[in-house]
Amino acid sequence: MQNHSGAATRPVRDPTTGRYLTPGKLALLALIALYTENRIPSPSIIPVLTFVLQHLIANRGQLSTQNSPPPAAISLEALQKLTVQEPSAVTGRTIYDLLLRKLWELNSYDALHDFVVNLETYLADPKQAEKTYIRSDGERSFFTRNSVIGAFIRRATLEFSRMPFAEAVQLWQGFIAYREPTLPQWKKRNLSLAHSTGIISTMDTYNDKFLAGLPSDHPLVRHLYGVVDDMKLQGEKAHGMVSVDDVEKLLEFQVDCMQRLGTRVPEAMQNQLKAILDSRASKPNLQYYVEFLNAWRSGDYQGSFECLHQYFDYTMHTRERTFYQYALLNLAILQADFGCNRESILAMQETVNTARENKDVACLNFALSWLYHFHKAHPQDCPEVIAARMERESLSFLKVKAKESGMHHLQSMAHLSEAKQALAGAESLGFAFESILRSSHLNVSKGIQNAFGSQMILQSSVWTRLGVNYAAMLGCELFVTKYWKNAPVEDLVKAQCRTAFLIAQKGRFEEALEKLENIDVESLRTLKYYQYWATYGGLIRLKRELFRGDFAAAEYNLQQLLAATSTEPDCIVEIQLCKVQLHMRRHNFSEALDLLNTYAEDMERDKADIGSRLRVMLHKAQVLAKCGRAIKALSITLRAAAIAWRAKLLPVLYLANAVLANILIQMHEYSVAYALLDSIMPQILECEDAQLNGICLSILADAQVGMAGREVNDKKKRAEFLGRGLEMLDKCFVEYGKLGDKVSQAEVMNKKARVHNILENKELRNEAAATCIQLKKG
Amino acid sequence: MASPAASDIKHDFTTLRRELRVAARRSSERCLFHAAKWLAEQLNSLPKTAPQSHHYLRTQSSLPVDCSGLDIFVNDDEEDKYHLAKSYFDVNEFDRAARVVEGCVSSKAAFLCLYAKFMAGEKRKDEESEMVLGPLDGNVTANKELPILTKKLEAMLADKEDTFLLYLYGVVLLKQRNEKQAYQALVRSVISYPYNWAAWDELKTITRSIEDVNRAMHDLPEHLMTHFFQLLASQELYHVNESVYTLVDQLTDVFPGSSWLKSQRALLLYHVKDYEESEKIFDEIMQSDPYRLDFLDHYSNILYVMDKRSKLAFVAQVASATDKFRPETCCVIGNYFSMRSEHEKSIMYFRRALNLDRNFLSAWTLLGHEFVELKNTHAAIESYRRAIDVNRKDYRAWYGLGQAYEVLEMNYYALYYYQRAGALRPYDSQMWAAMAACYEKMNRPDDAIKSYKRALSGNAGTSAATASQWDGFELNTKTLIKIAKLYERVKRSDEAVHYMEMCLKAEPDLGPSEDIATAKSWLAHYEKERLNLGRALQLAQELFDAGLMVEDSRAMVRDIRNQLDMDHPR
Repeated sequence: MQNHSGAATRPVRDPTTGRYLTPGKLALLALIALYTENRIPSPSIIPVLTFVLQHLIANRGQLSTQNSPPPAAISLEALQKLTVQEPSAVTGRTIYDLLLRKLWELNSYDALHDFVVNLETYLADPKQAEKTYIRSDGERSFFTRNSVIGAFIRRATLEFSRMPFAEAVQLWQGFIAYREPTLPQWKKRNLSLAHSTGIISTMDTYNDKFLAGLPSDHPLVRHLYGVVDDMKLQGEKAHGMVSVDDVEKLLEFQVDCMQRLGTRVPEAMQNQLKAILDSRASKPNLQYYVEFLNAWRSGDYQGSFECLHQYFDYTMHTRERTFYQYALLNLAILQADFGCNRESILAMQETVNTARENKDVACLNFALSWLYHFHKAHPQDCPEVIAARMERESLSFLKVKAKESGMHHLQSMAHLSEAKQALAGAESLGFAFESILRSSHLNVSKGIQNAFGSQMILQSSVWTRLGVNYAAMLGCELFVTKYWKNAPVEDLVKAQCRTAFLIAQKGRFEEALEKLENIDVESLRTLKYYQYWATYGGLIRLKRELFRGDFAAAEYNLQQLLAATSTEPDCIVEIQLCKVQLHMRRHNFSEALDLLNTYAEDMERDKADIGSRLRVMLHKAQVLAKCGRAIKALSITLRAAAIAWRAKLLPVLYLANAVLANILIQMHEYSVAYALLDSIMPQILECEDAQLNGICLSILADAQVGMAGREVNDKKKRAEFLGRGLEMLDKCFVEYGKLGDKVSQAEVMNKKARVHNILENKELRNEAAATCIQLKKG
Repeated sequence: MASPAASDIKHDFTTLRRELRVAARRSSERCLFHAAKWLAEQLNSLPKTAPQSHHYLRTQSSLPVDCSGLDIFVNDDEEDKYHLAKSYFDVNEFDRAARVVEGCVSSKAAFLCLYAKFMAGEKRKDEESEMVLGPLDGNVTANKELPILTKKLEAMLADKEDTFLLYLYGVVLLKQRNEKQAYQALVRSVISYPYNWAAWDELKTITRSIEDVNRAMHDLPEHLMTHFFQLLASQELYHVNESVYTLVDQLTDVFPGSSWLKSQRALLLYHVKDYEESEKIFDEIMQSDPYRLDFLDHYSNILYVMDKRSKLAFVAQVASATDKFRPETCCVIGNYFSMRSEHEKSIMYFRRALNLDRNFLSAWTLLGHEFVELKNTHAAIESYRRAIDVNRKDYRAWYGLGQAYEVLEMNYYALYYYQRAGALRPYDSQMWAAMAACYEKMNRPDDAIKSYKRALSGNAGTSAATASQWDGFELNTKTLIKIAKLYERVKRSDEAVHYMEMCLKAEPDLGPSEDIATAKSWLAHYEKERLNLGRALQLAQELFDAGLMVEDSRAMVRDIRNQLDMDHPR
């Protein structure tokens, strides 16, 4: 009746092809079948079962240690490697041979269907299993329905029965393509096929018994299995080799990696994953989230916004408004990352409101804490409403909330923030230590592995503030060597940059730069961290050039650093001070002073860290000293010293003392100056700051010479003082040598020449003078 | 350069018209239907001029100069309209097509107008029917165009004999269940133009029995096509004998490579239960043309009966690879799942087949079988009924209906259906046995006995392939025992004994079996009653030796021995 059937309608297609079963999984099932039939001798059971379980369980702990994605397709090579060496219960045959036989026994689609349906018989009957603990029934052992393998078998059979016929046929074809490479091995073992003259007939390749006798290019064969050749060429990328289930697991792994560690997956892995994803017709929605994270981390502003919206659009129909606040949260963080602070704040406000509406406590707490930190970091961008609220909803409130909702990470971070606040506000140091200790206790007892980084970095910065640079460096090194596994990449980068900076302070610039170069490239895949790292590198280079007197390069570097829009607050301070230093070295004192005044005002307004403010004050004092108006700076220095002492900011205190000593020298109070500095010299040396050392030593030398100058009568004492002065000058020379600061070295040599002059050491004087001239020239 | 003004777009209308016609035809020939539609639309929107001479296309046409007027157009205007209508039809816009050629007189145009209307009606009917086996499915919805078409056709056919119009008239009448007139119309159609295969195809549905076919032979012209028809009709009626085979052979001589003829031969072999040969032929066809889906559903039935599940899977694979959305493919896959006892899945596939083509007969019948397996008797009955409505000659549907009603214990009702099935296939012993069982339940032992006897003779009537020989014997012994027992009921023991003895005669060939055992024990009892103790003892002993019905036989042996001892005390 063909004539009248022209108006046929097409029925609805079945959704989601290739959901779960793949040829690889079929091979795994064959291996399990061998196991149940007790074909695997006892010593080989453990490796075989480990292999099987590895592919079945998405084990978080296992993943994180290896930091590699779960294997997508179970390749025959892996199976072969595992089983080819192991002897089986049948003598003369390895497990691999038995496995191959099982695979090649399936010689038609119906046989495959039978195989999958029979898998159910491997599961123990629940009623029977309860009565007696019989695990094996003569030849065969059973799996309980709830064991890992039992659950896998159940899922496999269920998915197979759900598959529409056409898809099951596709699976069969994929299976043929999958096992085809093992044909020679199989023929070797299977003598009945071996009498063929080496020509691979259709019967062998496709092993479909109904095609026996037909040549490979028979139209029927082409019609049925033409696609198999294509599949063989495409390998893993062929449709059906990797199931939707596997792909979703891979994507989840990627997302987890990116969120937890804050970085993108390495390039090679990304390419592999992309290839697998492209082979599929339908893409799970998580892929859009992965794209979004990729775009974000690589610094693609436009792209990441688009991807974010795309992802949430696709998931909107399944999740509706409940995820709205997460979308806003992501938007806000994204905008903050790219420096649009105002929009970020607005978005975050929305997030807070929506989270409150939907009673999503976790999101709400996270948003509030984020807002708090943001307000601290960028106080000028927060509108008054927020600022006022932040003052009210102080850290304690956040802590309480975090504790209530059991968000330990947040709680730990809150403690750290408290400590930071205490330090910045020149409050009790003891309290800061206490907070850090609390945070550390939480980290250890709750096992919050990725919070260790922040805590150790804060601790190391405390040590720096206390002037024990060695402990600071040790802290950072410890973190990088022992705790890198679970640490967010941000912390790792910060720690390494900090270590490099500390080394640079000792004057070992090359070493510091080398350390920076050796940083793991993978850590720098996120733009933000890359910028941070680059800033530190630039900063170190800038300092080096400043000290060397290479002003053109320094200027250039400075311009670059200043041009970078989004830098961390601590870097900004350093850069600003370097700028001032540049002016000082160029003898543009008025400009330097102006700059310093501006900075002081800004910091006053922003309530910046007390250390930075003190440093600005001391720089001012130094400028005045260089201008020859040291005494004018007395009050500022004293104030700085007092505050530094109260806040226990010891390096600043030492510098303040040095400046004070300088002032005293100007006031001709040499012995007092000397006593002042001499008493704290050991601690100053402990700071390992070459510049500070140099300054102090040169002041000491000045003091000594001054004191020598006072002693007009006592020749011996004079000589003593002058000798000590020379000693100091030598040491000072060495320190400045470390920094490569030729100008200061020239100055020191000048002083030395004059001292020698006074001491009537002509040769030494000439030598010193010559060195001085040489330094000035070169 | 000045832009061309609108008046510059001027062409010689004649050339333009010609070019467009040629272009439309060329596109249509290459199956570029949308392009053809556009060209035809433009062609028809040119300003109408005076009708020109016929057949500017005559020289280009591949059709021969004909006298029957089947290809001639009255004027060019009609021809243009025809092309436009055809292009609409090719893209399934039926109503539009019908409207364009409204009122045309030329053969092609007139036919297309009416046929397009008919198709539009069918399409609407399918859409209104919605779900298969739903409330709106079946005779509730009808093709609303049918009455209008009937009238029109009658008017048109009053003055001329157009074979295609006659064919359409026949179809319309058939849809309205007016078989006599349809028959006449179709016969007229084939007489006027024997190569109208569409008409032959419809004709085969009218012939209900072999007598009808033979009668039709008188009315039909002596032509090659008639032989084809004879073959087709005979095959559809399961009427297989030497003459049919010769017919096939003769036709194969003329058309050696015809897959259709091969399929027909295979189907004939299927009807006589020669499954292996049939399978071989179908295999050949499949290898020579892997993309052919016709008759594949019948092949799947053959494999189902032969219990060759893997092969059936293979065939399903082939069909699925060719086209997933053909009713034949869905039927094959449905059969496969039915063999695997996954009945829900097979029902899904049969329904899909029906969604694709509501008149696909085998799908209805098979759907009915599946419902029976799932014990959903009412749905089964409806499916079978739909099958019968599509084709009154489906033996299995009638048989299925009988069985379904039997399950529902409506035995008298079931009898009606069995009788109808019997009318189609008089020699099917299974059906007779089922009928006999019905009679038994209704307490009509005489009729039951008659039916059982027919069942027995039915076996003899079939050409027994070696595989089914033993089955024949199996059925035989069961039937014999049943007949014997029935005779016992009507108190005609002699006949009963006769049949039991007949049963025993089968023993040497069959070996010991339950039925033989039953027969023996019954006979033993009977002989004991009749005091033929010797014979009784012999039978009982045989039973005991054979190890069947051990307790009974032992008891009987002991009993008889006792009695013998009593009678002949030592």
